[in-house]
Amino acid sequence: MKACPDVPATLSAHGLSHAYGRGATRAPVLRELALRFLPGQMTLVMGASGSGKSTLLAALGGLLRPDAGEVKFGANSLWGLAPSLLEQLRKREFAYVFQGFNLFSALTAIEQVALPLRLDGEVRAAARSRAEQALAEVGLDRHLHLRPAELSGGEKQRVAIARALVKHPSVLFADEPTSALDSLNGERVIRLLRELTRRHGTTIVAVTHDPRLKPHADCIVNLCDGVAVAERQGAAS
Amino acid sequence: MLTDLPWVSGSLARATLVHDWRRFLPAILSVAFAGVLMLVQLGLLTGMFGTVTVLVDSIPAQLWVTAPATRSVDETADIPVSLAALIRSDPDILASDVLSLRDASWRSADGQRVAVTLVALSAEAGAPVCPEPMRTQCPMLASPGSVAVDRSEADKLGAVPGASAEIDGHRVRVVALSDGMRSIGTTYVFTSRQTLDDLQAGDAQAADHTSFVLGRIAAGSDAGRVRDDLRKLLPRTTARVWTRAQLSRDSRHFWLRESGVGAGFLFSTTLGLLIAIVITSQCLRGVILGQLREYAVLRAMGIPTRRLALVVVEQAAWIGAVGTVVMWYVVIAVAALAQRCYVPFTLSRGGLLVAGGIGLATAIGSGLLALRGLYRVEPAELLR
Repeated sequence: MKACPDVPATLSAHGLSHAYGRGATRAPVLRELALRFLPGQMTLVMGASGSGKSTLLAALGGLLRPDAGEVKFGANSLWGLAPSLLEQLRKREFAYVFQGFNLFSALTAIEQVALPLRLDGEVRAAARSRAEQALAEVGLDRHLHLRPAELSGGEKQRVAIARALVKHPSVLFADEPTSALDSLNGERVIRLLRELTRRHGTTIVAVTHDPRLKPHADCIVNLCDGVAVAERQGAAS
Repeated sequence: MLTDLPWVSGSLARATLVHDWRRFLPAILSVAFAGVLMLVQLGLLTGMFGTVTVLVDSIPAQLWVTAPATRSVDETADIPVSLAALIRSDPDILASDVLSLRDASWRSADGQRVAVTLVALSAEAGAPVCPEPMRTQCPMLASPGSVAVDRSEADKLGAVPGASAEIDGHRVRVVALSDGMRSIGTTYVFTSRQTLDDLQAGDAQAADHTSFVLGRIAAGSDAGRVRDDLRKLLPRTTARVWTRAQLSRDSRHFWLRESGVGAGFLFSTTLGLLIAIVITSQCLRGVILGQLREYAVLRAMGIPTRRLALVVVEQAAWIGAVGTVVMWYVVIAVAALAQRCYVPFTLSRGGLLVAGGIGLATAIGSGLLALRGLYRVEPAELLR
């Protein structure tokens, strides 16, 4: 299958297969997928429920070992790495935005964003400074000290994006990043992701049902029963 | 600063504790409760057993001579009064004296009978046998027929200063009330050696015998060495020599063993700690399960489980620390209440520290037990 533009990929998958269950109940969700994701581009993975989108995202993001096939990040074969090295790779190069915001209710916005840096050993002052910067980038510089209960859905998702991007990852994996948001906030989050991708050269792989994201995508992959049935360049390219 | 160490994840642990304090309250209270249970029992036991040795602990003489078979200070048997002169032959003994305990029957003015133990002291403030808390009362016992009782026993004996009573049919007069001289198991009535002799008039053998011979040594002298010297002087079959500390300690241990309350104390303390461990670990486990998705995001971001485990262990340590402080306040309040009600209760700084350490260890151990929940965190679950 031909990838979108023909430039060296940040992330690629070859012969990716995965199934859930055993024996008679075994249900394949990915069938020998081959995909490429290009630097600084946003790729949407679309498809009906059960088409294998989330499993694909987990396999690409180093969260779920596929039954067969290879995922390459640069020269590294993700699933050939020792668990500790894969963990390091996830820490340094990958970031994730999930459907639920998954923010700690006790922490303020700045603490949420600084937390992964602190847990990675960064000193408090430096972590807070970087967190402040990341929150400013997502337009939350006036909400630094608010807790999730005091933020709107869109603001929570922007905190989650700031938390993901504070480490300047190479690849951002997003699972339905706008599904819990109203149209105004959804649009804002989409534009933000697009802008950050361009500014930092981050590759975005986003699983979505949301057609509002289509005009912003560089590349769209349509999955059906674990097979990429259509792949095309998005309107943004 | 501790919180700036790379492995410390203080903000999350502390922020969660402060923000969700209601969720952690049962754990904090269970740690505090276990500690209070332990310290109050310990305080009552040591207070109670402390009353067994109240005479040893309050009388300033450093050396005690008892009957050879004595295991505890309340197990008295007669020894010759002449031993007092014998031990004085040791150059390290500055003064010697005798202390006699005799069972007697008290009859108050209203006819109430109470079994008591007469404690015959030297009626001089500076005598080796005058207990420290009775320095002002000892000289008041010089007058024949005078007795003193502890304030905490006064109601039981119907004794007020100036009141009359009978001991073994002889009239006596209460001249003073003492404080802090209460004993478990018996009721002490303090009197002078002379009054005791009068009460035992006709018993020639009693006059030549006593329960204890006491020796006072110079300040700075080694009581253990003098005891060893006296042991050489006194045949093992005649008497046994103790240092004050040794007699006090051995008497308490004897009571702890013989009464069986030591085992009871251990059982209820262990039970209290187990309850605290179960409540604290379940509480922490509930908090972990409630934050499973948030932890899963951190795991997805490559934060190792052991670093997340530190958050839980730190939360557990804070629970232990706060629980310990609550425990200390409650126990100090209980001790004050006990003192106000004349209930023997001993609270030591060492006991408070040990209980605090046990509380902290209990909470941290509970945190480690709760970690099982954390190892169930599976980042891929976030994508289902």
